[in-house]
Amino acid sequence: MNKHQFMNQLRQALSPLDGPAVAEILADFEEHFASGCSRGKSEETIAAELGDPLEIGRQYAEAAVAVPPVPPQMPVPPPAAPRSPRVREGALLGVILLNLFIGIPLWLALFATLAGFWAGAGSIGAAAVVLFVLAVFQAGVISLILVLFAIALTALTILAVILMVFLTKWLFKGLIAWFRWNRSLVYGGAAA
Amino acid sequence: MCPVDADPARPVRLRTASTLSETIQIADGTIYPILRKLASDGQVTTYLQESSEGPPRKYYTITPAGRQTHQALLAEWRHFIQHVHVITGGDL
Repeated sequence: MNKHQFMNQLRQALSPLDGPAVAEILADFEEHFASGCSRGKSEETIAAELGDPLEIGRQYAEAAVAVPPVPPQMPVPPPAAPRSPRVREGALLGVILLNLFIGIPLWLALFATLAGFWAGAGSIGAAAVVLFVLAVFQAGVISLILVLFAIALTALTILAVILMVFLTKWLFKGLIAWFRWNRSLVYGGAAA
Repeated sequence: MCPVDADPARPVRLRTASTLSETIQIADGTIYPILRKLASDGQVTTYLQESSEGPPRKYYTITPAGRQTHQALLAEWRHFIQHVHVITGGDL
């Protein structure tokens, strides 16, 4: 085997390696041949002393596999942490104080007012029913007046109930918004 | 394949591939993959120097880490052959 054949076989055996590494390795063997030739050895002798080029290539490839330059890092997605329940202590204290002194009294007052309105609407309705009952036991003009009053009160009751339904809905929505705002203060970031 | 300078003040001349194969039955080509691995592990550094005859010559310099490894491996080897001597009845 001459140098050319040796180098060709070595190049083939090195094919798993990348270009620059192959070029470097081949240069090492070029140098080895040049050094041997300058000492009067024939290409065939040098090639025989070097050994099997396929075996040499296999050793390079094994070393390259055994020590990968940089193991390719698979982008591992970080374990999906449950929404960080990181409590900001200062905000927590503030929210507690806010609710103690403003939130709870305010919302108690609002809901008490609401309950009062419902009671008012209920009593108007009750009054209308009483007037209807009274009208049954009266005769003539008084009965007519009582019935008209009862109808007026019934209409008023219906109006009040409609208003109260909306008011109740707004109040509950407001309370939910208040809770969310408090939570966003404590946990930070946008509230869910 | 050229001799290795450990450092200029105290050159350690390692055997070349050819001298190695004169001593033990080994193909000259075996040394190159090993040298390349030593370089990639940081045990030796290499540099090229232009040569008046032929391609540039590659020189290998042992690093402090390489020297440490060398000492550790030598100690391990001596330890090993001591035990082999004990097992084989102390015959050298």
